[in-house]
Amino acid sequence: MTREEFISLATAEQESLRRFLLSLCGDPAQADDIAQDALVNAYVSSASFRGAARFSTWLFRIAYNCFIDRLRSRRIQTAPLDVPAAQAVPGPEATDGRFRHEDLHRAIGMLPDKERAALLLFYMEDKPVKEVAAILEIPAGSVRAYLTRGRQHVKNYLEKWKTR
Amino acid sequence: MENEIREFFRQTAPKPADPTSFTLELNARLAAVEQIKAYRDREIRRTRQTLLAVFVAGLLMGGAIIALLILHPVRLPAAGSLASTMAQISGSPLLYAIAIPFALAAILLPLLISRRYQSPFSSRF
Repeated sequence: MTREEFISLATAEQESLRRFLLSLCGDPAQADDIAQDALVNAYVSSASFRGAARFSTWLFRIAYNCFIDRLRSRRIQTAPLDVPAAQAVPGPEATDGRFRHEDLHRAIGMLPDKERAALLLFYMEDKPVKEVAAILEIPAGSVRAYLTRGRQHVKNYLEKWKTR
Repeated sequence: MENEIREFFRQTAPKPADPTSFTLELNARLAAVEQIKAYRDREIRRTRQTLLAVFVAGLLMGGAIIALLILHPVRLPAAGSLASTMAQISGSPLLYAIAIPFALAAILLPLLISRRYQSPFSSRF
């Protein structure tokens, strides 16, 4: 794969990749740095890309591994995304809806990394379970379990905050 | 709950900053990677060529020495001289016990070294 070919493929995927990483780590500069690292790693090992998986799946897997590596070496700390984005969203019934979105945002930010990653890939990036499984390198059944558990956790947080 | 989460992500998905500067930076990084990769490949190629040349030279010299020994007429030295002692050693199995490991080392070491200096890009990923 030539550099031009790689860049054209990467350009098509870069927005969703950066969005995913930004949602995972919460800091735009760090998210972009991880995305750059992931793309460089992908380019270096592009000879090993046989096309068995989709390019985006392969790229997301490398990016997720970069994110995990950084997390393990404690070079980053995950933080929920900027709340203004969630606050700015008008809910179904203006004020109540806004609070609901804020809570939902906070609840998703509190999920364990793997559950959050599964939810982000499935709901935000609209990836099918099979692809999410390939990206997170876990069986499809585990992805379904993470999604169910993630939804349940979010629901629990929301109910807890509602009763306060 | 499922629809609510989906709707939430649809509405609040973060928008990454300027893609142009991101692509420019990526391009610069990839160019740097290519330079490093080309340099490493050149070094590896040079090392392999040197090892191959040493190996071939060793084979040729060994062959030449054997040919010389075979073709050279034998003159028996006088008893008790240094030359007669050398002749005794050259005829003894001790010489082969020493020479064979050396010969094997001369063949295997370049191979082992050339494996050690394989491209880091090919082994890492």
